[in-house]
Amino acid sequence: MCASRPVIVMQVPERFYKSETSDFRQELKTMLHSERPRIVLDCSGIKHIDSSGVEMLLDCMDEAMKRDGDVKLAAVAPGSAVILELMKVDRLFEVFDSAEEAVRSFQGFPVEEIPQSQPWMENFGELKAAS
Amino acid sequence: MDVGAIVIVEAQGWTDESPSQSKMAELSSATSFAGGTPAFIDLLGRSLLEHTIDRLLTAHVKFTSLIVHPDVAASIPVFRCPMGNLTMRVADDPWAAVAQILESYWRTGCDCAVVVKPTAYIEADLADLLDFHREGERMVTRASDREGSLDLWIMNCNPNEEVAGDSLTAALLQPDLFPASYFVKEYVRRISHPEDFRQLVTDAFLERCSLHPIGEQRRPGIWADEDVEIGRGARIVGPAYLGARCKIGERAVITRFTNIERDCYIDYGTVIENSSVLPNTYVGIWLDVRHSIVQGNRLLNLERGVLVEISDSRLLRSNVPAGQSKRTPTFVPKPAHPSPLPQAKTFHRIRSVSTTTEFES
Repeated sequence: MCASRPVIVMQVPERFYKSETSDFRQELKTMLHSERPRIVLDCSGIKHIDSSGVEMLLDCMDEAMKRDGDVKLAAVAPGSAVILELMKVDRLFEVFDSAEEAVRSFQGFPVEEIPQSQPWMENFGELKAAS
Repeated sequence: MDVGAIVIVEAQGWTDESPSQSKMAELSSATSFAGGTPAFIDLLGRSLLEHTIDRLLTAHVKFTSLIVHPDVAASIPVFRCPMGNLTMRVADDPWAAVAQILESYWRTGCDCAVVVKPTAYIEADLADLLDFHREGERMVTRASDREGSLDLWIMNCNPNEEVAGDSLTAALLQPDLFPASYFVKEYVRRISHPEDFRQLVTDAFLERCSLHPIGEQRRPGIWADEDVEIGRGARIVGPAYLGARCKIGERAVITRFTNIERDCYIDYGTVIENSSVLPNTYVGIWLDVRHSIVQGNRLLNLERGVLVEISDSRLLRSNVPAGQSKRTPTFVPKPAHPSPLPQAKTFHRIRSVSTTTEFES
């Protein structure tokens, strides 16, 4: 059930550099290795972000997608938003005004409710085998 | 009688009196974005200052003087075209300098002078304005438009005339003493906000004003100056302007109302839309720049009202060390009274803005 897997909200550090966020990365790694991770990164505290920070966001998204989960961004300050736009990263993430909204968005579209096997998929398999 | 001209460049950044945009104005003025004064920004190949002086020369003024505040004298742009007998004076008090210059014009046979501050792009009919001034036998005529007074005056040069019991020289120190009386019907664009600068570029592209890009129109809506290099697979969608010695990398896209000024390099795959890239700027690989003004490593996003300074030189950087320009000087105004010029302090100011987001490597 959706309720059994909570959405995890993590506060992104003020200086979002790979070199200065070892604790954050370790914690994030643990979260990402769970089944279908649902993570909200609260970016309201970011004052400085560098290319390794953007790379971390992308890695995080990649890991979550591999496990059928998702990572969403919340409260991205205008300065950080400009950087994400500039690097064409903004369109890869769902971005919300607040962490609460981001959490609600997970509840609105629970991953569990999407059937893993659809009748048309079975038919598609049969058609593929026939061809 | 002959006519002289005086152009005053003050040490002011962007200003805006609208409360809704005060944050933007504060940000822009505090950071001295684009050299500290809008007059020095390149606009389709030439600075607003040069466009202003060019309009005066077209109106056949006999002498032109440029008064520059010491704070911005170091960053005065090199002019693209010869500027005739233009002389430059660095002065703290521009109106005292105006009074002295008017007197010198009087001695050389000028009865009046056009005095202008390039805080707006004004296409006033100067011949009509002079006729209006002379017919009305005024000492000072100030121009205005629908939005109010403009920084454009016609002033008599005779130092012996009196205004309200005061000499003209003394009266000039209070320029607001003279109410605006001449209405400008032609195109006017005040440059009090970076958005105005972008709007002027757009208006020029749409031929709403007579400001034309320097260079030639290679295809309808696409202007390019000399020695422009365009990489394989790059796409230029008009209206767009490419300044002198620009390099557009492979697969880059320059689209809709974008002006890339001189000596810029837009690298592989980058998209620039509805933006201005100011001279000597490198924009890195595979970036997306929209609705912005970019200068060196600073990017002002007009949609979000945010200025970011990026210290990762792979993304944005200045092509040349600060204070040096690749442009071959065509004309450098000679100072009337040489004085030591202060160093530009724009970098220190931009560091002090709390909303600035650094992007460090």
